[in-house]
Amino acid sequence: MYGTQYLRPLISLQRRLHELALVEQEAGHGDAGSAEEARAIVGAIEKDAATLDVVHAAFRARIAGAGEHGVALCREIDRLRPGLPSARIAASSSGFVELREAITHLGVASNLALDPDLDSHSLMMVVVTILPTLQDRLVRIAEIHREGLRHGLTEKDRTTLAVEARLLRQHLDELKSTTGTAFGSTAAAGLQSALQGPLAEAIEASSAFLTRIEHSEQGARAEGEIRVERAKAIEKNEALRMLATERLDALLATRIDRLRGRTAIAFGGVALVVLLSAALVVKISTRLSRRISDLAGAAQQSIVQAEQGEDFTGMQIRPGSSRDEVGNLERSLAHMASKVKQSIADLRAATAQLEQHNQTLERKVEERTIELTAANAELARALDQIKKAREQLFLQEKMASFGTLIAGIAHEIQNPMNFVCNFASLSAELVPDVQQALATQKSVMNRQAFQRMEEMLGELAENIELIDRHGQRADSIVRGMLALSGGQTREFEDVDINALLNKYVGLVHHGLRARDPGLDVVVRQEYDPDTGVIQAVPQDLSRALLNIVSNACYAANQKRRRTTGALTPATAGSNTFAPEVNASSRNAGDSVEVRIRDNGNGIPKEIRERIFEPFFTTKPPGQGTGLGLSLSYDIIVRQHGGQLRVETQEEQFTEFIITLPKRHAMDEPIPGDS
Amino acid sequence: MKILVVDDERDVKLLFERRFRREINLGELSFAFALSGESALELLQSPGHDGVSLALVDISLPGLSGLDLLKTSKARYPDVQVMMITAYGSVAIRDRAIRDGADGFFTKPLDFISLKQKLRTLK
Repeated sequence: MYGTQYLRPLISLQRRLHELALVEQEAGHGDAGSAEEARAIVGAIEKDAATLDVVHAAFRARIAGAGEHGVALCREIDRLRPGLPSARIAASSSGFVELREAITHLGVASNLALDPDLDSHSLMMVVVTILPTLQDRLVRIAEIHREGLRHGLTEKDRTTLAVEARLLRQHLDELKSTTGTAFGSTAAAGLQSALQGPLAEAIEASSAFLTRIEHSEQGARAEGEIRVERAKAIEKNEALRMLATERLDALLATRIDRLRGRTAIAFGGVALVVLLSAALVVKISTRLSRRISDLAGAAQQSIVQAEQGEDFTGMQIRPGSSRDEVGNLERSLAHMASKVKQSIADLRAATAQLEQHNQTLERKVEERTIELTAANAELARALDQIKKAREQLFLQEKMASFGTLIAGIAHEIQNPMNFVCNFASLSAELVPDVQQALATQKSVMNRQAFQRMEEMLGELAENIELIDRHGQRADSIVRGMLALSGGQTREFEDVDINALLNKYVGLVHHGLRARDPGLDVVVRQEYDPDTGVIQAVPQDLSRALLNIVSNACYAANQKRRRTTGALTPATAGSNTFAPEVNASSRNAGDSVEVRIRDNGNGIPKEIRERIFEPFFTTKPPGQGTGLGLSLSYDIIVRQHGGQLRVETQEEQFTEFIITLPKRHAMDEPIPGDS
Repeated sequence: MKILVVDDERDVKLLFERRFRREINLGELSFAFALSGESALELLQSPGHDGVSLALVDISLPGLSGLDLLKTSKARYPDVQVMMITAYGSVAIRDRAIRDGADGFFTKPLDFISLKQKLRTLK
């Protein structure tokens, strides 16, 4: 941009300088119009120079602004990317500053290349402009003097001469001053050396001529001398003018060439600046791009190496890598890569160690597996033993309850057997006494009757002996039962609990009514059709149900009896108590709940805890063994893994609640077993 | 010697009276009978235990059991000897009875020969 801005006024300037050279050549030949044109061109050149100054100042300002903008940009980057090392920001900043300074130097150099030449050129134009004027004035003074000599100098001529002389002096002074200024410029040293002598000589000559004219009041007399002098002066002036013109032309040509060269250099410099800037930018960006690309390539290679498990070579850093941000990045990445390389090496070592550990571990696992397999086999044997022990225990528990049952039976049998055996024995003891008493009556008795009595006594003794013998046999059978009470087991099978309940509740009810026609207990049955089948031992479970239902019927009937017994004949008709037993079942998911409820007198609080004890009974002798509930408890809880609990309220009701699991689990712990 | 027989079986009275007819007739022995532990304690608490010096107690009794009666009697009337009778003489029950102070243990059917021998040692 600035190149274009520079270029336009520079091309314009070059063109004007060329025109100026032509004009000056013409002016050198005394063309006054050319001098005017030259002035106009110089004015235009000055305008172009001013334009260049403006452009240059703007360029400088923009360069400075660019530097400041670069720094601000770095700060912005720093703010936006706090992760970037501040050193890189500083490097970026200094890069911008360097760039700015380089451009500034180039600008200053170009400025220096342009400005002195423009200044000297302007001054030379002034010199070139003054010299013809000076010559013209000298010619004019000479013309006046010639006319004055011919016709005599009038007062007007004298005044004109005085004015012209003053103006000429002024021009000379101006020329001196201008050349002094121009020659003061270092760049115009050549011009000085070329013009100083002739110019000073010309000025001196002109000044001397003027002084002489001023003092030649008797010009007429010296006309010849004056003519000669004038001719000499004109000749000298002409020669001087020619010389000056030649020198000036040569010098100007040289200067123009140099100026052209410098302009070209300046143009080249600006173009160079632009190109350098562009090249610098391209180089920097290319270099950056290449370096970043290299880094990316190295990083990619590292990733591929890491992914494929190849040897990780890390990232190589060129020697003398720059200290800018990319260099920092390279060094950081290289450092990181070396760390990664080290980490990979460590990892490989650790992996190898791990592999070794794994092998050791696998070996140990194998050893432990063998040990565990052996231990498992041992454990399985132990488990098998435990299972067997548990089965045995369960059997023992079952037999214990069965033994309890046998004990109850034995008790019940042994009591009557006690009487049977002892009364038989007593009776047997009586037979000899009777025989003895009969013998005393032999003499008074009918012989046939006596013989019949003896036979009958013998038969009686025999019968008693048989009773005793069979009593003893029964006793031995009971004792044998006790001895053999273990060992009998029954199989679990699918049992329709509702059907079982229906069968045994009905059986109990009818059985009790058959024994006691006065029994008028109403039995209600409400069975849940969803209960389905359960796994149970039907013979045992039915015995438990039979006991509980019998108790319920008994309790309800007892209350009726008591109520009836307490009534007077007058109030008998108003006895509204209706003995009732309810049997119900309910599906409870994994189990079945059976409830047997009677509306009897309930169980007194003080004996509630004893009702499941063996031999505990509230019934009179002969009506209960005290084993029913304890046997039921054994069957439901120990044998079937269920629950048996009672809810009761005195004078109101008793309800036995039986919970039976649907599936029998032989291996599971027996509830209530401790 | 007066013997208290505690048994809820009513025919026990007849059995004992007939088995010990001779001793009763000779005045060597006399008997009292109770059908429950409670009625036995009532009798024992009368002055001089109503002459009773030995109780023959069936273990299986309605209400207060024979073993309960043994403990109560031994606690209240240590001068009265107590012998237990049971239809099922398990070792556990026998041990418990002996531990609670029973002076003898018999099983049913009662062997009166053995019982008489035992009574003779007490006289």
